[in-house]
Amino acid sequence: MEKEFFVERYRKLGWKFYKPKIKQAIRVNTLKISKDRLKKRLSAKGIKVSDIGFSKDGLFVEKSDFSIGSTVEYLLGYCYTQGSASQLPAEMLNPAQDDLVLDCCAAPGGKTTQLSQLMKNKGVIIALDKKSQRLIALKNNIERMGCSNVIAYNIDALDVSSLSLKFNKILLDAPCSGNFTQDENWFGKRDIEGIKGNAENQKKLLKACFDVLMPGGILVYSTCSLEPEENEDNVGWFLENFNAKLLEKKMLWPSEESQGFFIAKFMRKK
Amino acid sequence: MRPLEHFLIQFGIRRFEKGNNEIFVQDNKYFLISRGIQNIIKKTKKPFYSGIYLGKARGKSFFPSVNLLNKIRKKARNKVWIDEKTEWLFVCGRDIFSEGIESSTKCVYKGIITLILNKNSEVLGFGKAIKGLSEKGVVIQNIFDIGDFLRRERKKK
Repeated sequence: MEKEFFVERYRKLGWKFYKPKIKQAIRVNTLKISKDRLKKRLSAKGIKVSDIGFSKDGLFVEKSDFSIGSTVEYLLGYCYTQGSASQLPAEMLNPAQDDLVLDCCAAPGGKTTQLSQLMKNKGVIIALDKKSQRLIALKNNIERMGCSNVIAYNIDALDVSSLSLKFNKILLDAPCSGNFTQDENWFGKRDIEGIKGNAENQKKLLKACFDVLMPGGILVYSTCSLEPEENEDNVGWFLENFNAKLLEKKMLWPSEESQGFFIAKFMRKK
Repeated sequence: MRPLEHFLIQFGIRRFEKGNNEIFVQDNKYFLISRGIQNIIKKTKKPFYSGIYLGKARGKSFFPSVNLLNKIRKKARNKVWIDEKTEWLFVCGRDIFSEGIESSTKCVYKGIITLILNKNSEVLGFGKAIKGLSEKGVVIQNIFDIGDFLRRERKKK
Protein backbone atom coordinates (compact mmCIF):
# COMPACT_ATOMS: atom_id res chain seq x y z
CA MET A 1 0.00 0.00 0.00
CA GLU A 2 1.34 3.39 -0.97
CA LYS A 3 1.68 6.26 1.44
CA GLU A 4 -0.16 8.36 -1.16
CA PHE A 5 -3.26 6.19 -0.76
CA PHE A 6 -3.52 7.11 2.92
CA VAL A 7 -2.54 10.74 2.41
CA GLU A 8 -5.23 11.08 -0.25
CA ARG A 9 -7.95 9.57 1.92
CA TYR A 10 -6.98 11.88 4.81
CA ARG A 11 -7.38 14.80 2.40
CA LYS A 12 -10.84 13.54 1.41
CA LEU A 13 -11.73 13.29 5.10
CA GLY A 14 -10.75 16.94 5.52
CA TRP A 15 -7.14 16.92 6.76
CA LYS A 16 -4.03 17.94 4.85
CA PHE A 17 -1.15 15.58 5.66
CA TYR A 18 1.96 16.89 7.38
CA LYS A 19 4.31 15.56 10.04
CA PRO A 20 3.84 17.62 13.19
CA LYS A 21 6.36 17.80 16.01
CA ILE A 22 4.07 16.84 18.84
CA LYS A 23 4.56 18.43 22.25
CA GLN A 24 5.13 16.07 25.14
CA ALA A 25 2.25 16.02 27.59
CA ILE A 26 1.71 14.87 31.14
CA ARG A 27 -1.36 14.42 33.33
CA VAL A 28 -1.29 15.76 36.87
CA ASN A 29 -2.34 13.13 39.39
CA THR A 30 -4.84 15.12 41.44
CA LEU A 31 -5.18 12.18 43.83
CA LYS A 32 -1.77 13.25 45.16
CA ILE A 33 -1.08 16.86 44.20
CA SER A 34 -2.79 19.94 42.76
CA LYS A 35 -1.94 21.21 39.31
CA ASP A 36 -0.58 24.48 40.70
CA ARG A 37 1.66 22.75 43.23
CA LEU A 38 3.12 20.43 40.62
CA LYS A 39 3.69 23.35 38.25
CA LYS A 40 5.67 25.13 40.97
CA ARG A 41 7.76 22.07 41.76
CA LEU A 42 8.58 21.43 38.11
CA SER A 43 9.33 25.10 37.54
CA ALA A 44 11.83 25.01 40.44
CA LYS A 45 13.65 22.29 38.48
CA GLY A 46 13.69 24.38 35.31
CA ILE A 47 10.88 22.45 33.64
CA LYS A 48 8.51 24.76 31.81
CA VAL A 49 4.93 23.55 31.43
CA SER A 50 1.68 25.05 30.14
CA ASP A 51 -1.97 24.09 30.43
CA ILE A 52 -3.57 21.85 27.83
CA GLY A 53 -6.66 23.82 26.98
CA PHE A 54 -8.80 20.80 26.17
CA SER A 55 -7.82 18.51 29.05
CA LYS A 56 -8.47 19.67 32.61
CA ASP A 57 -5.56 17.92 34.34
CA GLY A 58 -3.14 17.95 31.42
CA LEU A 59 0.07 19.95 30.97
CA PHE A 60 2.30 20.38 27.95
CA VAL A 61 6.03 20.13 28.63
CA GLU A 62 7.32 23.23 26.85
CA LYS A 63 10.94 22.93 27.97
CA SER A 64 12.87 20.37 29.96
CA ASP A 65 16.56 19.50 29.87
CA PHE A 66 15.86 16.00 31.14
CA SER A 67 13.13 13.41 31.03
CA ILE A 68 10.11 14.02 33.25
CA GLY A 69 10.19 10.27 33.89
CA SER A 70 13.41 10.67 35.81
CA THR A 71 12.19 13.24 38.31
CA VAL A 72 11.29 12.55 41.92
CA GLU A 73 7.85 14.03 41.15
CA TYR A 74 7.23 11.30 38.58
CA LEU A 75 8.44 8.58 40.95
CA LEU A 76 6.19 9.97 43.68
CA GLY A 77 3.25 9.49 41.32
CA TYR A 78 2.49 13.18 40.89
CA CYS A 79 2.19 12.86 37.12
CA TYR A 80 1.76 10.39 34.29
CA THR A 81 3.32 10.80 30.87
CA GLN A 82 0.24 10.71 28.67
CA GLY A 83 -0.47 12.24 25.26
CA SER A 84 -2.88 15.15 25.35
CA ALA A 85 -5.50 13.47 23.11
CA SER A 86 -5.37 10.21 25.04
CA GLN A 87 -6.46 12.14 28.13
CA LEU A 88 -9.83 12.84 26.51
CA PRO A 89 -11.63 9.44 26.46
CA ALA A 90 -11.67 9.11 30.29
CA GLU A 91 -12.79 12.72 30.63
CA MET A 92 -15.58 12.12 28.12
CA LEU A 93 -16.69 9.02 30.03
CA ASN A 94 -17.02 11.30 33.07
CA PRO A 95 -17.29 8.55 35.70
CA ALA A 96 -19.12 9.26 38.97
CA GLN A 97 -17.82 8.33 42.41
CA ASP A 98 -20.33 5.49 42.85
CA ASP A 99 -19.98 3.98 39.37
CA LEU A 100 -18.87 0.49 38.47
CA VAL A 101 -16.58 1.20 35.53
CA LEU A 102 -15.04 -1.19 33.03
CA ASP A 103 -11.73 -0.36 31.39
CA CYS A 104 -11.13 -2.87 28.59
CA CYS A 105 -7.59 -3.35 27.24
CA ALA A 106 -6.35 -1.37 30.25
CA ALA A 107 -2.57 -1.87 30.34
CA PRO A 108 -0.28 -0.01 30.87
CA GLY A 109 -2.82 1.96 32.87
CA GLY A 110 -2.81 5.58 31.68
CA LYS A 111 -6.56 5.69 31.34
CA THR A 112 -7.23 3.38 34.32
CA THR A 113 -5.31 5.66 36.67
CA GLN A 114 -7.01 8.68 35.11
CA LEU A 115 -10.45 7.13 35.73
CA SER A 116 -9.41 6.45 39.31
CA GLN A 117 -8.45 10.08 39.75
CA LEU A 118 -11.71 11.32 38.18
CA MET A 119 -13.60 9.05 40.61
CA LYS A 120 -11.49 10.33 43.54
CA ASN A 121 -10.57 6.72 44.34
CA LYS A 122 -14.25 5.89 45.01
CA GLY A 123 -16.51 3.38 43.25
CA VAL A 124 -14.84 0.44 41.52
CA ILE A 125 -12.93 0.11 38.25
CA ILE A 126 -12.56 -3.28 36.62
CA ALA A 127 -9.44 -3.21 34.45
CA LEU A 128 -8.84 -6.00 31.95
CA ASP A 129 -5.94 -7.03 29.83
CA LYS A 130 -5.35 -10.30 28.09
CA LYS A 131 -1.55 -10.12 28.32
CA SER A 132 -0.23 -10.92 31.80
CA GLN A 133 3.09 -9.22 31.07
CA ARG A 134 1.26 -5.96 30.35
CA LEU A 135 -0.65 -6.29 33.61
CA ILE A 136 2.63 -5.94 35.49
CA ALA A 137 3.04 -2.47 33.97
CA LEU A 138 -0.57 -1.72 34.96
CA LYS A 139 0.10 -2.84 38.54
CA ASN A 140 3.22 -0.66 38.77
CA ASN A 141 1.34 2.39 37.53
CA ILE A 142 -1.63 1.82 39.85
CA GLU A 143 0.81 1.55 42.75
CA ARG A 144 2.83 4.62 41.74
CA MET A 145 -0.28 6.75 41.20
CA GLY A 146 -1.84 5.70 44.53
CA CYS A 147 -5.07 4.30 43.08
CA SER A 148 -7.13 2.19 45.46
CA ASN A 149 -10.36 1.43 43.59
CA VAL A 150 -9.09 -0.86 40.82
CA ILE A 151 -9.48 -4.62 40.38
CA ALA A 152 -7.41 -5.97 37.49
CA TYR A 153 -8.06 -9.28 35.77
CA ASN A 154 -6.03 -11.21 33.26
CA ILE A 155 -9.00 -11.58 30.92
CA ASP A 156 -9.53 -10.85 27.26
CA ALA A 157 -12.17 -8.10 27.02
CA LEU A 158 -14.01 -10.37 24.58
CA ASP A 159 -14.71 -12.64 27.57
CA VAL A 160 -15.84 -9.87 29.94
CA SER A 161 -19.27 -11.49 30.32
CA SER A 162 -17.53 -14.32 32.26
CA LEU A 163 -17.29 -11.89 35.20
CA SER A 164 -21.13 -11.73 35.41
CA LEU A 165 -21.04 -8.01 36.12
CA LYS A 166 -23.00 -5.13 34.59
CA PHE A 167 -21.39 -1.72 34.29
CA ASN A 168 -22.62 1.87 34.41
CA LYS A 169 -19.69 3.12 32.37
CA ILE A 170 -17.32 1.42 29.95
CA LEU A 171 -14.14 2.70 28.35
CA LEU A 172 -13.07 0.79 25.28
CA ASP A 173 -9.76 2.20 24.09
CA ALA A 174 -9.49 -0.44 21.43
CA PRO A 175 -6.31 -1.98 20.01
CA CYS A 176 -5.95 -0.33 16.61
CA SER A 177 -3.65 0.30 13.67
CA GLY A 178 -2.20 3.40 15.33
CA ASN A 179 -0.95 6.19 13.12
CA PHE A 180 2.20 7.56 11.53
CA THR A 181 2.99 9.95 14.40
CA GLN A 182 3.93 7.00 16.64
CA ASP A 183 5.91 5.03 14.08
CA GLU A 184 8.32 6.38 11.46
CA ASN A 185 7.66 3.40 9.23
CA TRP A 186 3.89 3.27 9.73
CA PHE A 187 3.08 3.63 6.02
CA GLY A 188 5.47 0.83 5.15
CA LYS A 189 3.89 -1.56 7.61
CA ARG A 190 0.18 -1.00 7.14
CA ASP A 191 -2.24 -2.03 4.45
CA ILE A 192 -5.99 -1.84 4.03
CA GLU A 193 -6.48 -5.55 4.76
CA GLY A 194 -4.77 -5.24 8.13
CA ILE A 195 -6.84 -2.17 8.93
CA LYS A 196 -10.05 -4.01 8.04
CA GLY A 197 -8.93 -6.93 10.23
CA ASN A 198 -8.45 -4.57 13.18
CA ALA A 199 -11.86 -3.04 12.50
CA GLU A 200 -13.45 -6.50 12.73
CA ASN A 201 -11.77 -7.14 16.09
CA GLN A 202 -12.99 -3.78 17.31
CA LYS A 203 -16.57 -4.70 16.34
CA LYS A 204 -16.28 -7.87 18.44
CA LEU A 205 -15.06 -5.80 21.36
CA LEU A 206 -17.89 -3.28 20.93
CA LYS A 207 -20.40 -6.14 21.00
CA ALA A 208 -18.79 -7.66 24.14
CA CYS A 209 -18.98 -4.25 25.84
CA PHE A 210 -22.60 -3.64 24.86
CA ASP A 211 -23.57 -7.00 26.37
CA VAL A 212 -22.32 -5.94 29.83
CA LEU A 213 -23.46 -2.31 29.72
CA MET A 214 -26.50 -1.44 31.85
CA PRO A 215 -29.47 0.21 30.14
CA GLY A 216 -28.80 3.95 30.33
CA GLY A 217 -25.10 3.21 30.74
CA ILE A 218 -22.35 5.03 28.86
CA LEU A 219 -19.76 3.54 26.52
CA VAL A 220 -16.80 5.52 25.23
CA TYR A 221 -15.01 3.99 22.25
CA SER A 222 -11.63 5.36 21.18
CA THR A 223 -8.73 4.58 18.89
CA CYS A 224 -5.56 6.37 17.86
CA SER A 225 -6.17 5.30 14.28
CA LEU A 226 -6.90 7.80 11.53
CA GLU A 227 -8.58 5.19 9.35
CA PRO A 228 -12.35 5.44 8.82
CA GLU A 229 -12.85 1.65 8.99
CA GLU A 230 -11.77 1.74 12.65
CA ASN A 231 -13.62 4.95 13.49
CA GLU A 232 -16.67 6.30 11.63
CA ASP A 233 -17.50 2.98 10.00
CA ASN A 234 -17.47 1.17 13.35
CA VAL A 235 -19.69 3.86 14.86
CA GLY A 236 -22.17 3.40 12.00
CA TRP A 237 -22.10 -0.39 12.39
CA PHE A 238 -22.63 -0.13 16.15
CA LEU A 239 -25.62 2.20 15.82
CA GLU A 240 -27.19 -0.04 13.17
CA ASN A 241 -26.83 -3.22 15.18
CA PHE A 242 -27.34 -2.22 18.81
CA ASN A 243 -29.90 -0.29 20.80
CA ALA A 244 -27.58 2.63 21.41
CA LYS A 245 -27.57 6.37 20.86
CA LEU A 246 -24.55 8.44 19.83
CA LEU A 247 -24.03 11.27 22.32
CA GLU A 248 -20.75 12.79 21.11
CA LYS A 249 -18.00 12.20 18.60
CA LYS A 250 -14.54 13.74 18.17
CA MET A 251 -11.84 13.32 15.54
CA LEU A 252 -8.52 14.87 16.41
CA TRP A 253 -6.11 14.96 13.49
CA PRO A 254 -2.40 15.04 14.25
CA SER A 255 -1.09 18.48 15.17
CA GLU A 256 1.62 20.03 17.34
CA GLU A 257 -0.78 19.64 20.26
CA SER A 258 -1.87 16.03 19.84
CA GLN A 259 -1.41 12.78 18.04
CA GLY A 260 -4.43 11.65 16.04
CA PHE A 261 -7.35 10.28 18.02
CA PHE A 262 -10.95 9.30 17.51
CA ILE A 263 -13.52 9.18 20.31
CA ALA A 264 -17.23 8.28 20.26
CA LYS A 265 -19.58 8.33 23.25
CA PHE A 266 -22.72 6.18 23.26
CA MET A 267 -25.59 5.55 25.64
CA ARG A 268 -27.35 2.21 25.81
CA LYS A 269 -31.03 2.99 25.35
CA LYS A 270 -33.35 1.93 28.18
CA MET B 1 4.33 -13.55 63.77
CA ARG B 2 3.06 -12.96 60.26
CA PRO B 3 5.41 -11.29 57.77
CA LEU B 4 3.44 -8.01 57.49
CA GLU B 5 3.22 -7.61 61.26
CA HIS B 6 6.88 -8.47 61.60
CA PHE B 7 7.76 -5.77 59.10
CA LEU B 8 5.62 -3.13 60.80
CA ILE B 9 6.90 -3.83 64.29
CA GLN B 10 10.36 -2.72 63.13
CA PHE B 11 8.85 0.77 62.78
CA GLY B 12 7.16 0.58 66.16
CA ILE B 13 3.74 -0.13 64.66
CA ARG B 14 1.85 -2.86 66.51
CA ARG B 15 -1.46 -2.51 64.76
CA PHE B 16 -2.06 -1.70 61.12
CA GLU B 17 -4.92 0.78 60.66
CA LYS B 18 -7.26 -0.83 58.14
CA GLY B 19 -10.20 1.52 58.59
CA ASN B 20 -13.25 -0.08 56.99
CA ASN B 21 -11.02 -2.13 54.70
CA GLU B 22 -9.89 -5.72 54.79
CA ILE B 23 -6.52 -7.31 54.08
CA PHE B 24 -6.76 -9.77 51.23
CA VAL B 25 -3.86 -12.17 50.63
CA GLN B 26 -3.39 -13.87 47.29
CA ASP B 27 -0.26 -15.79 46.21
CA ASN B 28 1.69 -14.20 49.10
CA LYS B 29 0.69 -10.73 47.88
CA TYR B 30 -1.12 -8.51 50.37
CA PHE B 31 -3.84 -6.08 49.32
CA LEU B 32 -5.97 -3.66 51.32
CA ILE B 33 -9.46 -3.75 49.84
CA SER B 34 -12.62 -1.71 50.36
CA ARG B 35 -16.03 -3.25 50.97
CA GLY B 36 -17.03 -2.49 47.37
CA ILE B 37 -14.02 -4.42 46.08
CA GLN B 38 -14.61 -7.29 48.52
CA ASN B 39 -18.18 -7.69 47.22
CA ILE B 40 -16.97 -7.99 43.64
CA ILE B 41 -14.07 -10.32 44.37
CA LYS B 42 -16.42 -12.72 46.16
CA LYS B 43 -18.48 -13.04 42.98
CA THR B 44 -15.75 -13.24 40.37
CA LYS B 45 -12.68 -15.22 39.43
CA LYS B 46 -9.24 -14.64 40.94
CA PRO B 47 -8.06 -11.07 40.28
CA PHE B 48 -4.55 -10.15 39.26
CA TYR B 49 -4.59 -7.02 41.42
CA SER B 50 -7.07 -5.40 43.76
CA GLY B 51 -7.35 -2.27 45.90
CA ILE B 52 -4.11 -1.09 47.49
CA TYR B 53 -1.09 -3.31 47.07
CA LEU B 54 0.75 -3.54 50.41
CA GLY B 55 3.60 -5.83 49.47
CA LYS B 56 4.55 -9.47 49.24
CA ALA B 57 5.81 -12.08 51.65
CA ARG B 58 8.65 -14.45 50.88
CA GLY B 59 9.23 -16.84 53.73
CA LYS B 60 9.36 -14.75 56.88
CA SER B 61 10.41 -11.62 54.99
CA PHE B 62 8.03 -8.95 53.81
CA PHE B 63 8.74 -6.70 50.82
CA PRO B 64 6.60 -3.58 51.25
CA SER B 65 5.06 -1.50 48.49
CA VAL B 66 5.40 2.27 48.29
CA ASN B 67 1.72 2.43 49.31
CA LEU B 68 2.44 0.67 52.59
CA LEU B 69 5.40 2.93 53.34
CA ASN B 70 3.17 5.95 52.72
CA LYS B 71 0.48 4.51 54.97
CA ILE B 72 2.87 4.11 57.91
CA ARG B 73 4.64 7.43 57.38
CA LYS B 74 2.93 9.27 60.21
CA LYS B 75 3.07 6.48 62.79
CA ALA B 76 6.52 5.13 62.05
CA ARG B 77 8.94 5.73 64.89
CA ASN B 78 12.12 5.64 62.85
CA LYS B 79 12.47 8.37 60.25
CA VAL B 80 15.39 10.11 58.56
CA TRP B 81 15.11 13.28 56.48
CA ILE B 82 17.68 13.81 53.76
CA ASP B 83 18.76 16.79 51.65
CA GLU B 84 17.93 17.36 48.00
CA LYS B 85 21.20 16.09 46.56
CA THR B 86 21.04 12.92 48.64
CA GLU B 87 17.37 12.48 47.68
CA TRP B 88 18.32 11.94 44.04
CA LEU B 89 21.21 9.63 44.87
CA PHE B 90 18.96 7.60 47.17
CA VAL B 91 16.23 7.10 44.55
CA CYS B 92 19.01 5.95 42.21
CA GLY B 93 19.62 3.11 44.65
CA ARG B 94 22.59 4.61 46.53
CA ASP B 95 23.33 4.44 50.23
CA ILE B 96 23.23 7.55 52.44
CA PHE B 97 26.28 9.39 53.79
CA SER B 98 26.03 11.22 57.11
CA GLU B 99 26.51 14.58 55.32
CA GLY B 100 23.25 14.06 53.44
CA ILE B 101 21.14 13.71 56.57
CA GLU B 102 19.19 16.79 57.64
CA SER B 103 17.44 15.35 60.68
CA SER B 104 16.06 12.17 62.18
CA THR B 105 13.88 10.87 64.96
CA LYS B 106 15.72 9.98 68.15
CA CYS B 107 15.44 6.23 67.87
CA VAL B 108 17.51 5.72 64.72
CA TYR B 109 20.77 4.02 65.66
CA LYS B 110 22.95 1.17 64.34
CA GLY B 111 20.92 -1.83 63.20
CA ILE B 112 17.59 0.04 62.99
CA ILE B 113 15.35 0.00 59.92
CA THR B 114 14.17 3.49 59.06
CA LEU B 115 11.92 5.32 56.63
CA ILE B 116 13.73 7.81 54.40
CA LEU B 117 11.98 11.10 53.68
CA ASN B 118 12.84 14.22 51.69
CA LYS B 119 12.55 17.83 52.87
CA ASN B 120 8.81 17.77 52.06
CA SER B 121 8.38 14.67 54.26
CA GLU B 122 7.58 12.55 51.21
CA VAL B 123 8.53 8.89 51.55
CA LEU B 124 11.43 7.93 49.30
CA GLY B 125 11.97 4.41 50.62
CA PHE B 126 13.59 2.75 53.59
CA GLY B 127 17.01 1.61 54.71
CA LYS B 128 19.05 0.23 57.55
CA ALA B 129 21.33 2.28 59.79
CA ILE B 130 24.70 0.56 59.66
CA LYS B 131 26.42 3.08 61.96
CA GLY B 132 25.52 5.95 64.20
CA LEU B 133 24.12 8.74 61.99
CA SER B 134 26.82 11.23 63.00
CA GLU B 135 29.70 8.92 62.10
CA LYS B 136 31.63 9.43 58.86
CA GLY B 137 30.92 7.70 55.55
CA VAL B 138 27.90 5.61 54.62
CA VAL B 139 25.53 5.45 57.57
CA ILE B 140 22.33 4.12 56.00
CA GLN B 141 22.16 1.27 53.58
CA ASN B 142 19.45 1.57 50.93
CA ILE B 143 17.00 -1.34 51.08
CA PHE B 144 14.20 -0.06 48.87
CA ASP B 145 13.46 3.24 47.14
CA ILE B 146 10.87 4.70 44.76
CA GLY B 147 13.38 4.61 41.90
CA ASP B 148 12.35 0.98 41.77
CA PHE B 149 9.45 2.08 39.55
CA LEU B 150 11.93 3.12 36.86
CA ARG B 151 14.09 0.04 37.34
CA ARG B 152 11.00 -2.17 36.91
CA GLU B 153 10.18 -0.39 33.63
CA ARG B 154 13.72 -0.89 32.35
CA LYS B 155 13.71 -4.54 33.39
CA LYS B 156 10.49 -5.02 31.46
CA LYS B 157 12.12 -3.78 28.23
